[in-house]
Amino acid sequence: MLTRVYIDNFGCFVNFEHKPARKQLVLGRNGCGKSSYMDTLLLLRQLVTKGDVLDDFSILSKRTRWLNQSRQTFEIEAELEEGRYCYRLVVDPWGEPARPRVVSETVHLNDQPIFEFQLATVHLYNDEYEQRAAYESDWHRSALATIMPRGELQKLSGFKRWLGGIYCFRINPFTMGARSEGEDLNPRVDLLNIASWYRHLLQADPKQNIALLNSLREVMDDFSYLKLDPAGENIRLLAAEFDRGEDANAVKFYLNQLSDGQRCLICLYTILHFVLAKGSTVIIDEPENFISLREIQPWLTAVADTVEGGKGQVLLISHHPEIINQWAPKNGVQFVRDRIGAVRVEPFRGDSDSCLPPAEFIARGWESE
Amino acid sequence: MSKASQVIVLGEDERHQQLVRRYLYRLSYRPHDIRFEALPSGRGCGEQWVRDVYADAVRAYRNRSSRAKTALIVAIDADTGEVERRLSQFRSSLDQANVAFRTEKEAVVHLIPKRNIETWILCLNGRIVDEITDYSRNTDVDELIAPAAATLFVWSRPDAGVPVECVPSLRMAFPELRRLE
Repeated sequence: MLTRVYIDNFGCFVNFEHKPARKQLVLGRNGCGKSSYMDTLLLLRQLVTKGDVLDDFSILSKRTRWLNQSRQTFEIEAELEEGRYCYRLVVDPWGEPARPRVVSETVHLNDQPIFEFQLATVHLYNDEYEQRAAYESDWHRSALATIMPRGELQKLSGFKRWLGGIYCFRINPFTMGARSEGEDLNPRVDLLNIASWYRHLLQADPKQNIALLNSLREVMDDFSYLKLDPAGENIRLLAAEFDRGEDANAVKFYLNQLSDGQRCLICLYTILHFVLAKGSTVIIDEPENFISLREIQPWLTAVADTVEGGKGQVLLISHHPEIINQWAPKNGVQFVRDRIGAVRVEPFRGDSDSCLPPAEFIARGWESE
Repeated sequence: MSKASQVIVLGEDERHQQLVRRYLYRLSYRPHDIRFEALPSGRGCGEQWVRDVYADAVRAYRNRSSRAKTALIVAIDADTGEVERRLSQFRSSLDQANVAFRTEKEAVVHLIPKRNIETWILCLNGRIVDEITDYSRNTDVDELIAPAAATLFVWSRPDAGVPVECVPSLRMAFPELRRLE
């Protein structure tokens, strides 16, 4: 699981350190960096898995405005089966006009190097921590991204696979359509490609689909099942079918014909059963959007059941009283920003004397006094 | 008897909620059937909060019970006092609010662990515990909640063989839980 994130000289993050728990709620006022935090993790995941050039991410323009510092540092630590991994990336401007370059990129396992990329040279170590290869690589992109999984690099490959499997979501039902032209292995942040991602999940893990359908039957009245209707060569349309009783025909709605809330419910339970229950780290920004009040707590409880059962890790970013009241007392951390300065993380501390519900405590602004 | 269409849980903290939730799953309740009241924001004021909202919770329970089968589970530690002290506090809360005390047939369940919920969780996991020692700082308690709930289900069945090591406050919970049936 993700155990530590360190960011320095990137947006509002200066010497910023966050140690996520297995189940955590991230709280904080508007503009305190909660969403930027998720975006930063997404950026790192993208860098390391896709190998795009750093210029594509406008990294230099995101240096902290009030710092006169060129270097930017990112660190990710994870506790996985093989031990404690630490990934570190240092970027600075180089050349004229300045372009971002990788000063160093390293992966350590239990404090021993398994990958080093410094001064444009890669040093690769095998699973016995013996140096196996040294070669030059383009310092305008992550060299870790170029490493292909192979036998003697299983530990490094395992970390890369894990990092690529951090899922970040900011669900936006407005962008979702029913049409799928093929299977998508990975979901987009806004789940625009839910139909194609679901098409892949259904093939990869049909057992989890049973759990998903059972959950959806509980949360959507008369829901029967999800189906992918053929609509041309390789084209499928994602539809939800609803029963109308024994004497009436079932009625079908394509995804785009469902309500925003119903689309979000399908997404949330898909994430629960196909991602979290499979042990992945999941970050969801405002999961409660479009969801009726009646449905928030049951989903939250199902998430807690999964995580408490030892599966997965979940970080929720939310302002919703329903989520705050359930998770903040024991699982809440708040991102705090003094005026327009840097962000820091503090545990949520409630008001032990007045016994106010946490959401009310926050609504009054007392958490930052 | 049929089960309640909704169970409202008034728990002192997250561990109380978890034990109750996992017990209810054993009775075939699903997340949708269970509603947890919001926890208070500060640590250590949960029992005060439960007593404060208890009368309103009983009143709301009765209102809904008149139209749908409902249950109310109240879980609060006895702490260093006796279980009876909590019951008399509940009684006076109801008196002040002009609400009648629960009847024999009402599905209002009082779970009052002594000394605290961790005592029950450890006891249900076969540990020898007493009701004086404070076990709340035991580090392994969270992982023991699920097996504790499974044992609670078994021990609370009619005619279940409950070991002699079972603490008295937990024994008092078994007839309480049968109010859900």
